[in-house]
Amino acid sequence: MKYVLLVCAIAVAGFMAYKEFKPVPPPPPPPPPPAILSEPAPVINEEEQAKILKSTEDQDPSVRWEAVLLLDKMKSPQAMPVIFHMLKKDLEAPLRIKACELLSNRRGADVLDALVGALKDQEPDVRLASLRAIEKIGDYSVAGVIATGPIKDQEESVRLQALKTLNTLQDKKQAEIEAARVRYEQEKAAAAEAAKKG
Amino acid sequence: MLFIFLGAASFLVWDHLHPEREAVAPPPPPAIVQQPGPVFSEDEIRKVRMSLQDADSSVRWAAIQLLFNIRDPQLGPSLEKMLAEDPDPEVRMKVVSLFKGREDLSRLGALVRGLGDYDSNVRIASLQALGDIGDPSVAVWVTALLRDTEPTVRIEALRTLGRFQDKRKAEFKILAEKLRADYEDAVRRAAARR
Repeated sequence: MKYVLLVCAIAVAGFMAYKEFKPVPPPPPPPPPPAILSEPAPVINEEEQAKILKSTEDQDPSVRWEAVLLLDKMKSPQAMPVIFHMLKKDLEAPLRIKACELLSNRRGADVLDALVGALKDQEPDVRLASLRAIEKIGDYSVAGVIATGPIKDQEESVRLQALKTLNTLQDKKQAEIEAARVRYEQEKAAAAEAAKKG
Repeated sequence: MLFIFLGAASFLVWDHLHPEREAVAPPPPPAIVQQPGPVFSEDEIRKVRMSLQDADSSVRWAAIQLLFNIRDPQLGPSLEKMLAEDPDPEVRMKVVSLFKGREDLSRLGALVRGLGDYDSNVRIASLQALGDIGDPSVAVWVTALLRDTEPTVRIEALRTLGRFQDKRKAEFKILAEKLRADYEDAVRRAAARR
């Protein structure tokens, strides 16, 4: 009987010791941070934004331009269509030039389409601004359009800028080809080294 | 005689070698227990306030400047009244400039009333002051000026809205940085505990 009690006491003591010294599981990792939007919401509601949209058709060119800049600043979904429309239809050439300059900092097929459209603008300065914007974007895919259109422009300055733009695009393309060739050579050398070791 | 001579000599030696006692420090100034009295008495301030009704606009402007400088407790209502009622547009414009940088005085209501002023310069000054404050709660009144007859006012209204957006963006950036720093700190502490 004594032995049984002793065994029971040892078992209980062992269980309690296990409970006491059992390794504590690590605390769960902290919850991920709350989702942060990349841009804050516009300070004005949609109804007020509609008024700004209306200002893009103001009779004063400076007001129209400020309205476009504000829509762009607020990341309004209407901003890009308005800029494209301004580039295509605005009666003031300086505004069309400013639109080209604004688009030169953007990327995308629709941006290139709009700039290619501006290559046929009646004002040489707008055509020039469009060529400069295309040069800044550096997309080689429009080289064919420049080679067939602006290179035969009636204005000498436009023809000159078209050649400059083509040269820049060509240089960029050449640099890309060279970078690809170097990368290929490095990979080939690495593969040969690995085969030698194997 | 010898004693007298020795006594005199030892006194001279003692007097020569004796260290001079340090000059006694002047007593500390009495503690100032009271604030300096006001430069202007209540009566004088009342007279200055009455000058706000003067027929000469330069007198009215000088009076409000004085009240501004002496931090008159009734300055806010006086500024609001002048912005709304002063007959001289130049004075109203200057009054708007007093609101700038003084958030404690920034009565948005007064500046919003300035948006309806018949003088376009006052409307522009009010827009600029609201832009400085950067509170987008007045955006509705600012967008109302997009239909103003003056193009310069319409442009300033658009710029003011842009400044509201800039301010929100800056605040947003600070908040995002703080949230990220808090999260990284929590992760570091959790790793240290592990």
